[in-house]
Amino acid sequence: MSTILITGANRGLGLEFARQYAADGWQVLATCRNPADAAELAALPGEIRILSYEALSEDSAQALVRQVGETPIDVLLLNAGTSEDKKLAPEAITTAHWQHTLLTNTFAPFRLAVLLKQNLQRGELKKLVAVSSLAASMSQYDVPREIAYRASKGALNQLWRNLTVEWRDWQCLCLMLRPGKVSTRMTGFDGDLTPEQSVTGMRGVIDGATFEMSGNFYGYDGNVVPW
Amino acid sequence: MPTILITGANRGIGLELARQYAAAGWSVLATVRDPKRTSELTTLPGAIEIFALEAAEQASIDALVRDLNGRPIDVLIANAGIPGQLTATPEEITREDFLEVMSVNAFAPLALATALFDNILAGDRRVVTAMSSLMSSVGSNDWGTQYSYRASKTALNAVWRALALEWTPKNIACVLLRPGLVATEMSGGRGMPVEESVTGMLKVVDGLTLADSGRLIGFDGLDVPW
Repeated sequence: MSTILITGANRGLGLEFARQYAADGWQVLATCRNPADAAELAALPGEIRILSYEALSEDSAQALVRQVGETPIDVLLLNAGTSEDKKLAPEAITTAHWQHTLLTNTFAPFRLAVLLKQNLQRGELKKLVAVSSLAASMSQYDVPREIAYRASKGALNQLWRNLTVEWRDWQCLCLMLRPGKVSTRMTGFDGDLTPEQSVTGMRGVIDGATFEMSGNFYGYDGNVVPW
Repeated sequence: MPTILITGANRGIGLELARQYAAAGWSVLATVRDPKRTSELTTLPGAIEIFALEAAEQASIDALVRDLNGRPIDVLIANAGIPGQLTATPEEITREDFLEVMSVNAFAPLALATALFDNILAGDRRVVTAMSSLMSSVGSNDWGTQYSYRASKTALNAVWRALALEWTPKNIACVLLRPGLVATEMSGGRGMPVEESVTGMLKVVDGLTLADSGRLIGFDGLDVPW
C-alpha cells in the first residue's frame, strides 16, 4: 500500500486529491489547519489519517513531522497555498501581504519537504510534488497584478529545481504542477475546471511520472508548461 | 541633463554605475545605506548626489521621496541586493534568511519603484530597471545552489513582469538587467571586471524603448531564458 501526504486537504484541490487517492487504495495522510473543522475530509471513505499543520508555523511543521514518525511517504504533495488580495495594485502591496504569501506558498512547502526528506527516502516512489500555478510562468502569464502570488509561485518552482539537483542522488522525482483554472473557494469559484477534472489530470501526471521527468513543470493536461 | 537614481551605489556594481553615468554627463542620485561610509563615491568626478536609503525599510523610502521633492528621474536602477546564506544546505535555510533576502532583493525594488512613480512620470526616459541574475532563471537551473538568492531573483523577475504589465500602458518601460558574474565584494572577487559589465549595461539601458518592457537583458545585450 502506497502512502501520500497531502497538505491543505480540508477543501478544494487538496480534498479532491485525498478523495481520489483514498478511493484508489492509498494510505492518505491529510493535513489541514483545523482537523476539528474538516467534516468533508473526515467523511471520505478509505484509509485517511487527518493531521494538523499550519504552513506559517515552524512549530506546527515540527509537530507534524513527529506525528508522521518513521512512516515512509511515497508521494509528498505540497498543495496548501494562499492567493489573497490578488488584485492589489503594485503600490498597495504591504510587507505583511508579501511575507504571508511568500511564507505560505514558497517557504512552507520547501521547509516541509526538507523536514520530511527521510520519510520520502524510505518510500518506494520518492515523488516530491508541488502544486504550482500558471502564474509561475514568466513567459505565459499575462493576468494583471497578483504580484506576490506570481513571485511566490515562481520562487517555488525555482526551489523545486534546486531540490531536483540536490536530491538527484537518491532518485527523488520532483514535479511542479499547474492545476489549471479550477472552481474552488480559493478562486472565488471562478474557474473553467471542476476540482475533479483538474485532480484527475494531475494524478495522471504524478502516477505516470518517471525519473527522467524530474525537475519539470506540467499542467493537469499532461503538457509541459514553459518557464 | 538626464537624471538617474541608482541604489546600492557605495561599492560594487552600483559604484561603477555611478562612475560611468556621471562620466557620461548624467545627474546621478546615488543611494547608500550609510552616507558616512562612502569614501570612493565621494571622490568620483561628475554630478553625484548621495542619499541615504535602507532599501527594505518603508520609512527610509518615504524619507528619500520627501527629499527628492518631486524631482524628475529619467532612469531608475534598483541595484541594491544581498546574497543571503549562499552556501546554506536546504536544512540550513532559515525562515529569517529567506524573508530577508526576499525582502531586499524582490520586494524593496517594487516598493522603491512605486514610491518614485511620480518622479519617473515627470522624467523624459521613463525607464525603471532592477538588477536580476542568471541565477533567477528557472529553465537554465540545472546546477542548483544559492537557494534563497536564486528564489529571490526569480521572485524579482515575476514582480517586474507584473510591473511591466501595469506600467507599460503608462509609457514606463520596466526592464530587468543581468550584470553577469562580476568580481565584487559580493561575489568574493570572482567574475569579470566590473567596468566590462557596467559598460555593457549602460549600452543596453541607453537603447531601451517601451517595446523592451518585461524583458530580462544581459550586459551582453542577450535575453536570459526564464
